[in-house]
Amino acid sequence: MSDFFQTLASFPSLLSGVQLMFLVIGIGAGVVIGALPGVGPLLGVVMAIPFTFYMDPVSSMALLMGIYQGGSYGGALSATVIGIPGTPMAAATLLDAHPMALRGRASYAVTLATLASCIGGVISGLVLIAVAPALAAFAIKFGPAEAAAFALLGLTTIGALSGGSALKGWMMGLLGLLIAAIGLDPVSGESRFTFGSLYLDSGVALVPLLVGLFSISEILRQIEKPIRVHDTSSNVSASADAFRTLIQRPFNYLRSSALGVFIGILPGIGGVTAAFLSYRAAMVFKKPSDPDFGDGNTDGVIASEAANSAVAGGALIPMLALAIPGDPIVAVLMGGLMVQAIQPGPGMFLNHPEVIDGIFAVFILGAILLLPIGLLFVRLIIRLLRLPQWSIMCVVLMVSVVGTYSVSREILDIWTLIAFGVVGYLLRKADYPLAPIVVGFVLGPIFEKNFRRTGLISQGDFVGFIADRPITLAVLALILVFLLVPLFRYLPSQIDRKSP
Amino acid sequence: MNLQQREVGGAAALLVIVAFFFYLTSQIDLAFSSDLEKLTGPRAYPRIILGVMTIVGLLLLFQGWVTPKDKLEKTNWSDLRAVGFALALIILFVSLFEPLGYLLTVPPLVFAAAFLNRAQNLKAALLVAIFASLTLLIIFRYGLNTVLPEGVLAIDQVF
Repeated sequence: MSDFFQTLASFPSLLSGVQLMFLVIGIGAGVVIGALPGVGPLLGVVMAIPFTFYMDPVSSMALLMGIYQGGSYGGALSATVIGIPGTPMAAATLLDAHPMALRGRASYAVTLATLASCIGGVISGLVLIAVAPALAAFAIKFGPAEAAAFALLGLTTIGALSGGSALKGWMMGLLGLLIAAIGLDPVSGESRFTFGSLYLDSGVALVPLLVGLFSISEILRQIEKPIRVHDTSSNVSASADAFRTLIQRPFNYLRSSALGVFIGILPGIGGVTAAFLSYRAAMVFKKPSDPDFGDGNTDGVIASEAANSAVAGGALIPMLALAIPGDPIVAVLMGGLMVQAIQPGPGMFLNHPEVIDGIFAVFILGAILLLPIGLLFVRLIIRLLRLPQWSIMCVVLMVSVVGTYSVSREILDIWTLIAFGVVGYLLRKADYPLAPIVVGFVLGPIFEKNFRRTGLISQGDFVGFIADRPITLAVLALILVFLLVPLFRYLPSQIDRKSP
Repeated sequence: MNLQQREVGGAAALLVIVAFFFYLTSQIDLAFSSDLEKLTGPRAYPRIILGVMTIVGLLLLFQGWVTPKDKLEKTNWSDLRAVGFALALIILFVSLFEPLGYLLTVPPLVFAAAFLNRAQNLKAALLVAIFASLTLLIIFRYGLNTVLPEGVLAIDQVF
């Protein structure tokens, strides 16, 4: 516990002015990106990755996490003002915030959402600081068998990230593992799937893969099916009434944040589920004098926003301590650390404690800064919602292509970007999820290295070796449960569908 | 194309890719030919992944087979043509980016992309193309200290 308070006390000295500036830029950009329908925080974080190549690790994480936090909140702005959630996470916010806006209480709804996001973020940040180091201290004792088992556990989150079909998700996760296997073999140095190309010897670069899959494919998709621009009113400002809810409804803030953190820690569930579960929980505690849920209920907005913001801190716990990305954006953040030659996981707490402390400081300050940034610039952000979609997509295209090139000034990176853009577009058309590819790609090298080291130590006798390792066995049992649950869900649904 | 055809076609295409990569694994050299190398060597790991991919691919094929033949939204060929144009445009841009340089390739790319994204206002598209390209150039050149390709506008080539 003393470490927890020491970490908090050291925050003012942890961030330099430049790092703070990147955090503010990240939050501002994130709020705008989150508010724009069709862009979203995932695409925002992906587009920012090439820029982080030139930054120190903490500045890089300040920018990326600022976009993550700002983007998670930004969706609530468009949900409130135009009735379209900028992000799927804001869908639950829309249910009550938009009716409030329609009744002329847009300022109250926006302030409430901002305040709830800020509190959810701060609470999840405090849990992150308290839990992640303890979990990492436990995980540091792991050998390669445990590390491989945990990487495999991370890969099973793919089923949950898949949306409709878990099978499609697993196929995409395996595709990510296969792409990660391209290049020189990490143990023997033999070339694998390189077609004799020196460029591919070092493996597929993360930045063109990410930007191509998410950004270029989205541009191609929007060229095919453009998103409509909405008329907006910019008559929104901060409302003092919303701040009174801190005294009137503190338990809703706490309960929703706690629920969000818990859901965030569980791999692959994410902000949408957290927001709706928290919304459902708030319905149980409805005050008789309050309007109905779905008709402008204050607790509905608080519950949804506090929970979906708290998910971010929860999701960072397994990523930092165990290298398990439980959410697509966190998988990209993990990639952002890898671009800086930092491997997330328990070793990071030993080898890069300054980056860990910086991430903690960035997260808490980011959640706090969300309040002034969100409220001061709300009019400007809402005005940006009127921008025609073509102008946004043009900027996305330009930043994606030039940003990718700038990382290593290698024209082959842009060809790789285009190739993954086309692959991503085709996969989207066939309704395959893209996020599992990233999870497979970032976890692939960790899994392969530890899996093969286990094989070498055990002289090929995997079963005999694992039988003596209770943690590995427990994790493998958990993996089995994660794999079987979707199967048990899938089979009865197929039988129901077949029965007349 | 109906939903069933799309699902079966997608799974079959992935299985063809898996088969191709499986063939490629036979070309990975083994440093030793011991049993341990076969289990933990450079071929083994990709083959395990490809083996699991084959199983999942076959399950997807089966899943596609039992999918109802619901009609999909009709493909609009003019929209697909726009996607094709966009790809051709990006490929042309990549081919010319280093030889011609940033300033001669990025603004035309953005301008053309604006039209593919159904921009109606010529002046606005031109302004966005020029303003956004210059802003990005300044960010990279002075903010991130990165020189983007100067191409034919490079000072040492002009003089």
